[in-house]
Amino acid sequence: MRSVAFGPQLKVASRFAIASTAHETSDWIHAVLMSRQSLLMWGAVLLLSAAGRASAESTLTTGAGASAADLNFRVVIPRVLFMALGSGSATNPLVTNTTVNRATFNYSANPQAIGTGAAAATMTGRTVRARVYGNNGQITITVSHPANLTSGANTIAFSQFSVVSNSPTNLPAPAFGGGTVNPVLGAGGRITNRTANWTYSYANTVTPPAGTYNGQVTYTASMM
Amino acid sequence: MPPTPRTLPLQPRAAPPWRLGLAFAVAFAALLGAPRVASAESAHTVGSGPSAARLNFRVLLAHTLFLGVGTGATVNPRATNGTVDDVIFDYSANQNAVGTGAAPSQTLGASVPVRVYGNRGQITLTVSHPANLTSGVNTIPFTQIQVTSSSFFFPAPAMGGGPVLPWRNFFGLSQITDRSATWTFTYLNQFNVPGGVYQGQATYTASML
Repeated sequence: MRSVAFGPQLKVASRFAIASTAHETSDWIHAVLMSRQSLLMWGAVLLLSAAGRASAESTLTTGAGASAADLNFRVVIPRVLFMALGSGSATNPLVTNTTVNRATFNYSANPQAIGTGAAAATMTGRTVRARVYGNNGQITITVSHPANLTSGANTIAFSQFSVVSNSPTNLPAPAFGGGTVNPVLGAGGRITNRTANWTYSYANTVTPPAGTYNGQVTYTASMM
Repeated sequence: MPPTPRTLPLQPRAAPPWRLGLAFAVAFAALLGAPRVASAESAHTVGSGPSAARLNFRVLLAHTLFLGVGTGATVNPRATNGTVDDVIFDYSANQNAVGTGAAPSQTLGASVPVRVYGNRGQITLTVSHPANLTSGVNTIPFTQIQVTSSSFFFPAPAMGGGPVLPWRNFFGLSQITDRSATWTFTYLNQFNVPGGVYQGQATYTASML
């Protein structure tokens, strides 16, 4: 059992003239100062010398009035999806953990129970903490596995295993053989943050040859 | 070669009434705009005895109030600056930290130079902002952004909080306030929020009597 954490890469106006003589120069000055067109220009000059300019990053105000400045804020939150079973679920903050846990059903101490449906005398790691977190809508969890656990040429069908969750509504466990579950979304409809304990059982309804049978299942969480 | 026709003769001429009015207005405006106005007299003494002339000086200082947050705070002399700076908290490279209270792996512009200047007594500084930063329909409360100031004399108003009073110069005794500081912003990161780029703008306003 393993945990996987990943986050996709998200992500001035002037009119110009050239005067050729001193007389023309003074004429231009006269014209500029006294022409009707200059009315607007002098009006603008007088207006700019007056008090009070508004909201910007810095504002200099003369005379009465307040002075204001703006500041923009941005928080970038990437898309996040996290799925963990076993050791990886205990990490905080969420982080990728490559440890794969093992659930063991050992009949060495009660071999007479093989094939009877009775539980193994020794069982370790069969209750596993599961956690799923995502921030972009509904998550779907699927399970995949080979058909059998194997010991050399001998096999035990994966369908001999079952799983129950102690939080069957919020974080159910997908059943072997292609099960799919949808953990319940939190308020707001975008965030999923669920934990549960998944407990595995071995049906023990077959009588396979002696051996150590191994197999691995993979749980995959997907999100929009 | 015949003389070039002149379109704007130099000879004196009777100005129309609107030009006289405009000339008077310009002269009056120039008088108002002059920072220093001096008037002098003269005295003529014949024979022995002193001769005296007096000169009046006047300096006109307008009420001035300046607030700069970010780039505009560093402009000298003080001037209006239209650039609005950005403060960015980016969790793209440490997405596992979202909602844990941990800082983002990348923070841009979080330390902001600020300056306030006024020459007419106590200045009051406030901040206003919407309730939330937004990314589409998703939100982060503005109160998730905290601020500290590098200067005891120029505190920063908290998001969602009340006004602050920058200390006037000379330990609060002067009519002048001229304070600079660096405000440092942090993101509390207390919420698991949907992925997105959350944006919002805060406006700082200085007022003076």
